[in-house]
Amino acid sequence: MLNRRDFLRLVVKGAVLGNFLNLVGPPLEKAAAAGEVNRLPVIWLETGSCTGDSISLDNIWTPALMDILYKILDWRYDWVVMQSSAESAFQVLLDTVENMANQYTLVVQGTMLQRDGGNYNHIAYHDGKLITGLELVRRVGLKARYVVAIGTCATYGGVVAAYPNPTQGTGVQNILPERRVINVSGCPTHPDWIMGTLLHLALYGEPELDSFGRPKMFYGETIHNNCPRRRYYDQGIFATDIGQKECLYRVGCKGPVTYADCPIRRWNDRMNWPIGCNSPCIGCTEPGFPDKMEPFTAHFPDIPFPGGTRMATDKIGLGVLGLTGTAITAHLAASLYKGRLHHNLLKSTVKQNSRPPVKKTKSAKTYRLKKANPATPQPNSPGSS
Amino acid sequence: MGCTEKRILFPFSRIHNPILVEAHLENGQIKDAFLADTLYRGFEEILIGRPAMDMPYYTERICGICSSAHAFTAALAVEQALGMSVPHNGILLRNLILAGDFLQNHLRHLYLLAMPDYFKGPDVAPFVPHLEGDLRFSPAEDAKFTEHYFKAFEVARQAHAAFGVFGGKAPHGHGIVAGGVTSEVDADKISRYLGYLMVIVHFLDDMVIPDINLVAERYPEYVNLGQGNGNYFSVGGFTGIDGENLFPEGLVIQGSKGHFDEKQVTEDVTTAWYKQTGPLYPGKGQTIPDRGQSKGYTWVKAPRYQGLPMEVGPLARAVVSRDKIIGHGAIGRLWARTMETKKIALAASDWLQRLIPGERALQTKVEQDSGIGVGLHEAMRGALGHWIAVENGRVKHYQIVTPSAWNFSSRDKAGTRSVAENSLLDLKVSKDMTEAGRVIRSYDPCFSCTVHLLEKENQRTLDLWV
Repeated sequence: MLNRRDFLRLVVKGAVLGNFLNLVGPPLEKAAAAGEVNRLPVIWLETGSCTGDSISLDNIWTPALMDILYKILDWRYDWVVMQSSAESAFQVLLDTVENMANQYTLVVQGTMLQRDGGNYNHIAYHDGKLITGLELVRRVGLKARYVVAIGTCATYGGVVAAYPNPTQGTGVQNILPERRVINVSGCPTHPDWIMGTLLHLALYGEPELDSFGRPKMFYGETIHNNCPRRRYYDQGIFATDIGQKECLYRVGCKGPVTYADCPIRRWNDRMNWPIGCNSPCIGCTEPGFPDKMEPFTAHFPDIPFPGGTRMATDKIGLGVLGLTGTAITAHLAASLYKGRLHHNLLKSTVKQNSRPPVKKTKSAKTYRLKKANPATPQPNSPGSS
Repeated sequence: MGCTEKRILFPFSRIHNPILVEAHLENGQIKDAFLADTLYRGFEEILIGRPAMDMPYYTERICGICSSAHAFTAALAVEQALGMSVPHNGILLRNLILAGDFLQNHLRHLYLLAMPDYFKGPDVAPFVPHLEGDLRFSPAEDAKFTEHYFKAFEVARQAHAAFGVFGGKAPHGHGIVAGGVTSEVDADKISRYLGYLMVIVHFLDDMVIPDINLVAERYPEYVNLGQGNGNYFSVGGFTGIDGENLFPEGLVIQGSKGHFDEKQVTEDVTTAWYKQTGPLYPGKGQTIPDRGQSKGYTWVKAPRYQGLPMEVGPLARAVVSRDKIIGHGAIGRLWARTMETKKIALAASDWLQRLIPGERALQTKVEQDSGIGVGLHEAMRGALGHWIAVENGRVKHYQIVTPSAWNFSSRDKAGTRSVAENSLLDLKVSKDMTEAGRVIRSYDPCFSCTVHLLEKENQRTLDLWV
C-alpha cells in the first residue's frame, strides 16, 4: 500500500500530469481489496448551495471514479444521486448515524443559514416535522469521525453569506465549534481537491491543514507563485482589459492573495483555467469571497495606484476590500523594492490595441549595440556575409 | 374534500436541491398536490450595489448545473442596460459555451436523475435502497442501463470540458462576460471542442437515443401521462450570426400560437412566503418575505403570463418550434430533451466552423453608466429572464425569473395550480410514489435556481401548513 509520503508525491505529480486519480486509484483499489483499508462511509448533506460542488465532483477525470466510489469509499447518503427518496433514503442516514457513529465522514456543501433558527433551509422531513439544515448538520456532525466542508459556501459562507448576508449564513466550522472541520474551499471545489482529501482521510487520517483549515497539499501556495503569466508580472507588462494575454493584475486578478493550485492542476480535463481564458482569478478559495475580492474585473477601488485605474468607492465591504487591496498593492511594492519589477512598470503596460511583444528591454538593447563593433561584421550574424 | 390520506415526501431525491411533495390521496389516486421549495438564499439583495460588469460571475453562482445560462442571460441584461455590443466571435463563443453546458445538463439529467426511475441498478450506492414498484426491464437490460449510466458520467464530463475550452472552467466559468467572451479563438481550441463534440454525438446516436426509445416502448402510458396544462412558451435562444435563433421565440396557449412579450409577465405571491404585494412585473418586483404568512407553503413565487401558468423547457421549445414530439407527458418530455441534445450538438459544430481564429471576441466599451436591461434567453430547463437596473455602473435592481419557477410555481390568487402540480392530478401512485417521481423529474426541476429574493423583515417562527 502507498505510504503517506508517496501519496503526497502523487498529489503533486498528478497535478502536473493531470491524472492524479489514475495514479492513486489502482494501488488504493488493491489495498481495499486486500482489506488493508476500510471503506470510508460518507454522508453528503446539502444545505444552502447551488449543487455546484456535486456537479464539479461528477467532472472528476478518471475512468476509475466509480471504482473509487464503490471500492474505496462507501457513498451512503447523497440526495443528488440516490435512487430512493423520502423515508427509505432518510432511514439510511439515520442508520448510519446510529450504527456507524465515529466511523463515517460527513461532507457538507452549502452555507449554513442561521436566520430564523435555520428555518430558511429545510432538508428533511421526519416524524411529522421538518428538519433544518443547521440542525441536521450539527446532529450528524457531532457523531462523525471527520467533518469535511466542501465549497466556499460551506467553508466560509461564500456568495450566499456576502453582504448584507440576508440569511445570516456562515461556514460549517462556526456552527460546529466542538469539531475540527476540514475546509475544502473553492467555488466550485476542484474534484481532485474533494477526492484527494477524502482519500487522505480514508488512508492516513487528517491531512496537514493551514490556518484556515484547508489541506496544505492543495492550498499550499498562491495562484500568483505558480502562474504561467508570472513573467509578465515580473517584467511589469500588464493587461489593460480582460481578454488580453498579459498579466491580469491590474484588471482585478486576485492571484497574489489566493491560495490554490489551479495554475498547475487546471480544470475540466486539464484543458483550461480561469486565467487561461484571459479572465482574472476572483479569489474563490479564500475566506471573505466575494466581498473581499470585489470588483472581479477591475482594479481595486480607492487604492491609489501609480498611474493606474481608480474606481469610485462604494459602501460594499469597504473595510475588507481595503485589506485585500492593501495586501496586493503591498505585494507589488515589495516586488518593486526587490527589483523584481522593471523600472518601466508604467510604460510597458499594454495599450488597448497595440500589445508590444515580450522581448528585450530597451536598456539591454543599447547595451548590445554598444558592444557590437560596427567596423567588423559579426561572424555569427546570417545577414552579414 | 373527501381525501383519505395525506402523504409528505421529503427529501425528494435526484433533484437539484430537493422539493417537498405533499400529496392528498384518495384510493391511491392523487387528488391534490403541493410542491414546495424549502431553501431560501436571498441572492437579489446580495446583488444590489455590486458592479454591474460582475453580474455574470455572481448570477451563475445561483445554480451549479446551469451556471452558464445565468451568466449568459445576465450578460444580455447588462449589455442592454449599458449599451454594449458583442463582436461576431463573441456571439458564437457564448453559444458554444452554453451549448457545452446544455449537453452536460441534458445528459446528466437523463441518466443520473431521470433514468434511475425506470431501471433497477446493482446492489451498490447510489442504487440502494432500491425503488419499489413496477420496473419493467429484464436483468440484461438493467445491466445495459447501468453501464450507460456510468458512461454518461464520462460523456457529461467531456461536455463540461468542452464548456471549459472557451469558458475557463466549469461549473461557474469565467468566459462569459458582458460584451462577449474573454477567451481567444485559435485552431487548437476549435479542434479540442470539436473532439469533445464528436464523442458526445456518438454517445447520443449509439446509446442515448436507442435507450430513450426503449424506455418509451416499455412504459408507453408515461409518454402522455403527466401532461402539463397545454400552455407553452419559449423566449428564444442561441442566436446565430445570421440573426436566426436555434430556439425560436413564441408561445402556444391551448393550441393557438402567438408571440411572447416580456411586459405581460407578472409574479404573484399569494401562497408563497412573501408579504402580499399583488402581481407585479419583474422589472418592478418588490419582494418582502413573510414566514408566518398563513397561506404560504413554498418559497417559489408564481410567475404568470397574462395570468396563466405556462410550461417551459425542451418540450415547450419543441412545441413552439414545431419539432417532432411523441407526447406531452413524462416520457414525452424526456424524449424532447434527448432530441434537443442532438439538435444542439449539431448546431454547435456549425458554430465552430463559423468562428474566425485570431479575431477578437470581446468588446467592453460601454455607452452609458446607467440604464435598465432585460436579458431573456432559453436555459436548460426553459425560459430564463433577468431584469436589471444599473446606476453609475452599480446594480440598483435585480430580479430573476427562472424556468423552474414557471413550472413549479406556487398557487396564484385564483388558486390556479402550477404546471407541475396540475400534471400530478389523478395519477395513480404506489406506496413510495414512484409514478409521481417520474412525472416530477421529467421537468428537470432545479430548486437551487428557483428562489433568491429577500428583503429585511421581522421574522416569526414557522407554522407549517402540514
